[in-house]
Amino acid sequence: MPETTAVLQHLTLTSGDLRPSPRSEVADDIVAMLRPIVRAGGGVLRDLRITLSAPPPWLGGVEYDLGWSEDPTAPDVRGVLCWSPAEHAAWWGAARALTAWLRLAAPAEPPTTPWLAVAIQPTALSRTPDQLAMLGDAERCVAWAILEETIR
Amino acid sequence: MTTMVRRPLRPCNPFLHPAYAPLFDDQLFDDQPPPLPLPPDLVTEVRALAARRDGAPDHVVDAIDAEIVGRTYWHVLRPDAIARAIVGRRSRVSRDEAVLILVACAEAGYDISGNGGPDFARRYAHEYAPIRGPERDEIIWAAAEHWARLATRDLTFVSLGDRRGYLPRPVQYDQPGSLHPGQRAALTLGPRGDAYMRRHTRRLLVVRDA
Repeated sequence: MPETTAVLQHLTLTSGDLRPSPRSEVADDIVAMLRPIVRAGGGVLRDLRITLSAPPPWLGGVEYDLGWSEDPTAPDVRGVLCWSPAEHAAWWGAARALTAWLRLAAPAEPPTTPWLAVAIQPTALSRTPDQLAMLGDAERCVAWAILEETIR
Repeated sequence: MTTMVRRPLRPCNPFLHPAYAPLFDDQLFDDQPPPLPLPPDLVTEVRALAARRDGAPDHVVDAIDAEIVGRTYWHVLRPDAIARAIVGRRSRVSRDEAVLILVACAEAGYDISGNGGPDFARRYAHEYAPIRGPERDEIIWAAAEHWARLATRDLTFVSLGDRRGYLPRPVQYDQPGSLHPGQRAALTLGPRGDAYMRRHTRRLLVVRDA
């Protein structure tokens, strides 16, 4: 079971890239704008659609989708965020399921919580390089907004 | 200058260059088809798709290419994986080895032309580079030699790809002080083992000027 630290472990399931991401990497004003959205279970910020699997309260983790499509069922990235070591196994199972269809080798599990595991979706391939570059930041910003909602 | 056999890896990611899609068709190769770093059953599926391209109307070809991209994109060889295939886990490479790595990245679809280095004679800014032919060979090798030489200069680091593995960023060069804070490359070649650059790349290779 992973330990808990104040650094978000950001795992890209489709490439296996794991990167520790401190809170300082995301801007306070963006997180402040995102917190009401995650509290409501989703919304749109700067054309980016954010859809959580459920509004709070959450049980140690939550799934969320991000995308520029107006269709919430066709996101550009799907993610699983887990902050509870006790719930790690269940949420890791949900994260692994995101890439089951790709027949990729299993990525290493994040060593600590909180962690965010994301899977880029085929729809992302039609986005611009700028949008693709923006996705990584957006994933982290939403994750920190949720984490700060949980310790409110 | 390079005495090694020129055996670059072959492209596996048509998203980096959609014109690569036909290369999945075995029929295009007289000798041996390129090795594809894909699961065998996926290779079978993709080759069946590629075979349907022949003689199909343009809109069908576009749809098939999109399907091929969607199936194969996830198995992309990142530049750091390409480097590992060529020089293993070493952290120091010769300039000739750096050239081979850069050529292999270019063969895999990463754009190493332009940005101050040798470039293709494109008619339009966003025109695709040729995927075969003498101009392609000439420019790829000239560009690789250009960037490998630049990577031996003090404080100049040459980067390819992004560390998450899905952003086909063209070749770029930076000095540690001019780097964008959010920049994270897949592979960086430079003159020394700079700690700051190491934090901004998946793999840093020190290039010896020899």
